[in-house]
Amino acid sequence: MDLHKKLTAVNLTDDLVVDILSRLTYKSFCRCKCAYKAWSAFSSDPDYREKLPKKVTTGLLYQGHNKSAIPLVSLCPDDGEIDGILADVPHYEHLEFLDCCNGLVLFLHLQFSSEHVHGLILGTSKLEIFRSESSTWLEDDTLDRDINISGRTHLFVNGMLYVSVGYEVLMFEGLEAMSDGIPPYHQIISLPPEALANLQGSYTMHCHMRMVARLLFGHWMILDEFVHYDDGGDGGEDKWFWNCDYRIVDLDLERGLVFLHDQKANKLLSYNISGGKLNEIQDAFGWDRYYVYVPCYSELPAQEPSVQ
Amino acid sequence: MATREAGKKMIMLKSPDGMEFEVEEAVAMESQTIRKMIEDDCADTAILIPNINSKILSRVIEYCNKHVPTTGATGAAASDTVAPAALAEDLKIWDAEFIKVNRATRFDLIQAASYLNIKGLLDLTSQTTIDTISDNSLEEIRSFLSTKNDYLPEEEQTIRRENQWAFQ
Repeated sequence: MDLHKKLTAVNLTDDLVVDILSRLTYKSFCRCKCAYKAWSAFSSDPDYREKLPKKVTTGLLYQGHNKSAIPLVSLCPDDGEIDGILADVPHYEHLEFLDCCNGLVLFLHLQFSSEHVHGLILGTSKLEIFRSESSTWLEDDTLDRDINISGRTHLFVNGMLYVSVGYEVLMFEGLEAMSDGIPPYHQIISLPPEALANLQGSYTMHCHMRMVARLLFGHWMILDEFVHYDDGGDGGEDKWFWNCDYRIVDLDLERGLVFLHDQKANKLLSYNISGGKLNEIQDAFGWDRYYVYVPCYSELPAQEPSVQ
Repeated sequence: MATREAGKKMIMLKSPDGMEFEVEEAVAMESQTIRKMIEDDCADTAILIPNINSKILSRVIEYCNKHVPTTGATGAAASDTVAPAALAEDLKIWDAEFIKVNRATRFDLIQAASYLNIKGLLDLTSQTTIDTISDNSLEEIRSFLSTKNDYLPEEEQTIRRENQWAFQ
């Protein structure tokens, strides 16, 4: 009987058991830890927690109309509903979700007290960054000017933020380092008015996407398929943006995914460019803006099976 | 055991139950632990492998023999004729056959792979274990691992409630 006891997994060292468990998907791990208390206890060990499967926080972020917490729509059904990802940010109800890139989420802070004075990015009148580990806001006090961005007169790509201020563009670099207490580097670029016009306006994002989509597809062949369900072929390049059944929601270049909003069925879809596979993600919420959120571009989680 | 072709360095591996296995150095060096011993010159002609009985050790050697990269004059020619993809496919089929063992042997193999630091074997054995438990019910997981439920009923209720989504 001693022999029988020797054959159990408990006899494996904790390191080995954690190594085995680390190969599970997050969902399977959550199920398996219900079988054995010692397994769920591994989660409280900092070293083991690092190794164990983690919530995949890659997906589409959006904010409902009621200024709710900002949920993350997972791209993988195995992750279950990951809700209220930013619910631990204080005063999230005053934050309007604008954009995200490189694991940073950009907000407009709405100050209701002084008649809708739009505050700034990630804070009130300063550039601030929320540090989720310590639940504190870090302020960049090296910036003394009031950068009042409203709506979408900004561009947030490759971890750099461009904000138009009058006839100038403020460029921020190294925003990620703010969580280590290092203020971001910023510089002011003066622009001729016509160049500025290109940066401004809600159309910018769509222009940007169309450009990228064109680069990806070479031509509109694939998009044409998505223009209309029924009368395929009629949706020319001029018309598709204004009058079509699918709207491009966002692009995930790293994984080669295009996210589409099926406006007839009101569904969110993902389209794999190389595989040509269309996947339904979930019901869409009208015209809310969705943005792909990837925790860090340099550390992509393994591609989920559902979106391959 | 038949003598191997000349020019290949042989290593003797000894299990604690007294069995001796003569293997090519290249095969033995599939184990990072043994590789380190050899590179650090800690190894004489024979290496004692503690904690791994002869039955398991022979399986491990079988695995290493199959997985040692084919190099050298004849090896290079062989890999020219066989496409790498076909080779990988062949290995996969072989692995699937190799791992058809009872669970006690599998756990022994996990321990051996971990101690000897053979990544491929550890991946194979762990993944097979994961495949077995990931879709099973809690009762099946517990019985597979011969473990007792160590939750109090109310604790289990709580953790089940918290992770209800994972069961859907």
